[in-house]
Amino acid sequence: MRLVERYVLSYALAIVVSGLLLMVVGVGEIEIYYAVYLIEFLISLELVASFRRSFGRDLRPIIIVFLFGFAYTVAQRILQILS
Amino acid sequence: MREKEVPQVQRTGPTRLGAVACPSCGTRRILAGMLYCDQCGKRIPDSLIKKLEHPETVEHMEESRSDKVSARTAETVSSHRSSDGTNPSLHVTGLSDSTAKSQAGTITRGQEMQHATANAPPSMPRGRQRILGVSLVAFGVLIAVASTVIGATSLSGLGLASFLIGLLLVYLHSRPSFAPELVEASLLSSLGNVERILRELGPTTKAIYLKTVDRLDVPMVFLPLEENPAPPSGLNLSGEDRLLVIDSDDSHRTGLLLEAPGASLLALMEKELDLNFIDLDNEDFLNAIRSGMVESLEVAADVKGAFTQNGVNFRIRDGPLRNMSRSIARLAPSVASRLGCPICSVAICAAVKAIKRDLILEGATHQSGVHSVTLRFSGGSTDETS
Repeated sequence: MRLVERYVLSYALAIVVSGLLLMVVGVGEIEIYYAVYLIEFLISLELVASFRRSFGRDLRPIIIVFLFGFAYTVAQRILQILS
Repeated sequence: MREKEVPQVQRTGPTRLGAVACPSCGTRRILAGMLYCDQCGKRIPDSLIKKLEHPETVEHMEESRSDKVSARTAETVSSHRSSDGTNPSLHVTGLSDSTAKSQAGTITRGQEMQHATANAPPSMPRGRQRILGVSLVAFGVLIAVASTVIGATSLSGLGLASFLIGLLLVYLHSRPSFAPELVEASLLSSLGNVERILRELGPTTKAIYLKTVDRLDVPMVFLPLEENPAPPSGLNLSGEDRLLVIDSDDSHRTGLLLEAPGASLLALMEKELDLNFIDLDNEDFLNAIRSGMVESLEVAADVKGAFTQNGVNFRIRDGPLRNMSRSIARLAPSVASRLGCPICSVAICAAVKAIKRDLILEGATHQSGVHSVTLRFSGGSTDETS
């Protein structure tokens, strides 16, 4: 199996397992799911990028989209606290 | 399965007398008795094999086929796949010059089928990957909407997971990747030219991979034109920038100075691994070569290296580029056996950079999907064999 395919498969497995765990624990906020998925994404990417630096560069747009989403959730939470 | 030996056919040039066009690549090199095209490696249809046994039918068939071939070739290239695992394309050895030391002579039909199935790497076709990605994105959105409607917030977490996986699959699908056949096709002509140079000049000496002294040095290989049983331990050709080096004072320094076939691949490997082999010591570089060739570049399925008393040995198992290796061994045998094919050469260049000594290539063979490379330290004894 190619490195990219292994990466996608392991990431998919990781977020499905963590999503189910969070569901079992009873977490209701989507922001927590998002944050966990983002952390898993960055960790798995770093593991793969140690073998292939160009892969990290290729996925930079996805990282930016992820971080924008994270910034949005953080901003929402701040607004919620302030209000 | 019936074992049938492929007869030896002498190569006569771009086309052969009485040859017909390959249905896959269009090259007129198919002769009676051949099972595989020696240009593209595709299996020759049984119907064509039968018709070749009856030459009177071939001429009529060729006229109608020639128009279809170009369109089919273009279709094959445009629908390139990420791996050749789904395509059991194999080559018949023994079709090239008698100098092809690395070839086993003939491969039986049974061996070929076994080889094709054993080495096929599992890989998802790109079309299916895209469909799966879009489906997962749609499924994720649906789940998220449904969970909002029914008020089950925890379900939206799984919807988000599905959405993200789908997004990743779609994005990775949009990245360009190239079929091994394209890599092979783009490389063979250049190596064919080097092969002709080697044949014309006819040196029978062993190639010496020259040590690099600077981090940015390109690994070079020196092929002495005169018989040189005991080359000096240090050639010191770092200042030379010529293809043909002639030194009237020292016959050891007269020969061809070429950029190593794997030099560019090594540079790419170093870039991907974010390291320089010149910084590694003898123990670390073997692991780095394996990581680089197997994980980063994916040009090999496995790499094993071992130090011997007089040098280094490598055993490299072919990965997705196995057809390219076979083609190089068949069409450029001198390059493959005396300079090393690009895949062997990557390992040699890395070794030269890490060991920081000139290395003499004692032999490089490619058989049954395995490259065997034997290197000897320059100035050492010559009792190492592959």
